[in-house]
Amino acid sequence: MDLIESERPQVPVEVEQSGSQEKLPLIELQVREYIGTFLWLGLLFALTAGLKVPLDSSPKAAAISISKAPWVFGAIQWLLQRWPAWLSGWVLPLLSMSVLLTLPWWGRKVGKTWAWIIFLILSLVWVGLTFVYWSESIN
Amino acid sequence: MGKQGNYSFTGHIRPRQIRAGALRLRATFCLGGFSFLAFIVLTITGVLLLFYYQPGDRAFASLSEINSVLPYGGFLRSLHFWAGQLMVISVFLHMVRVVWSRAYRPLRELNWITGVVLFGLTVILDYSGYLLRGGQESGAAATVGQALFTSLPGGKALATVFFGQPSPLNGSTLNMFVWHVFILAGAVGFLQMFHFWRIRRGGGVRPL
Ligand code: HEM
Repeated sequence: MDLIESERPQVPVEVEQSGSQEKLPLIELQVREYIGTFLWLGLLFALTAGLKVPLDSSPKAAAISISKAPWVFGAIQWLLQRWPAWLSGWVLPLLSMSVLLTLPWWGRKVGKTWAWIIFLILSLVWVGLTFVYWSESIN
Repeated sequence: MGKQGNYSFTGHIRPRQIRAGALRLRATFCLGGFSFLAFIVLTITGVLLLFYYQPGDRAFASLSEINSVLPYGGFLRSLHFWAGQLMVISVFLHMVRVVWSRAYRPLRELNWITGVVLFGLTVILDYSGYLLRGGQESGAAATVGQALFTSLPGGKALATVFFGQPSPLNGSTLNMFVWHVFILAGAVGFLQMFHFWRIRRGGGVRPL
């Protein structure tokens, strides 16, 4: 379903005339984009220069016993070390993704505050587990 | 070409005027734009790495050479790595911002769904990149993923499609390489364009 230009919902005049609807030329956005790009690239170069990215252990070296996940999957790895694979590796991640996908629906069903709380709990659990795994793996 | 000819390609894909409200920092915190910027840097550095990197048995050796022999190779690899981590973080924070400002509501629902898919793909892209390192850690990480797929009914074939045949000492395979470089990166690139088009439709501005 797509809206052609003329069918877009019209903003009421009162809103249109309030400050946030005021129109500014594109250059105002471009200036902010240049500043943002500059700062972000600064951060990237600082990380690149300051923190060395390690290589793996060579496949030709004597095998060391490792069970490792990159940090993005740290939370799943943490769960896998405790619970059966079908639960930690499939059910919980897929369930979380389904809740995320249907968040607009939850927003209508249980209200915006609850949608926010559901999202927050979900995010905090996954981010929390990622940190727990990460701190355990560097010690 | 008359007056309209002045508005070249950029004039065509971007609006000429922006709502003042959309320009406020707290409307976006620039997080969607930072995610896109990371993707651009990843594409450029990724293409440069492609000239030298060899998936499979030569993966670890070719990456070591990139890292320490090739001029600016270590720098390039480091840029690619850090841009990847920054992208995962900024995509996640962008999602938090969208939920916070309740921008997932109608007119933008399809973009929310596109976004969740983009988030999932970005995380998998980061994982697939890690497997391409080709050493023992990547082998261990590939083994976990492979085992997850094989535990499904008929999962052995799926595991082969995704992972190829990695060894526990080397996660880099031609399959993983094709997923990382072409399929996943291509899908994320395409979905971003769709995302941006929908943002304009929803009355917003893209990207930063
Ligand atoms: C590759 C990753 C992504 C990129 C490059 C990207 C980029 C952008 C940009 C540039 C905007 C304009 C406003 C802003 O900067 O905040 C935007 C808006 C939006 N994004 Fe994303 N995004 C990505 C992933 C996601 C994810 C993971 C979600 C949610 C699950 C999402 C949902 C949305 C929605 C609903 C809007 C409209 C918000 C509004 O109009 O206020 N996006 N995105």
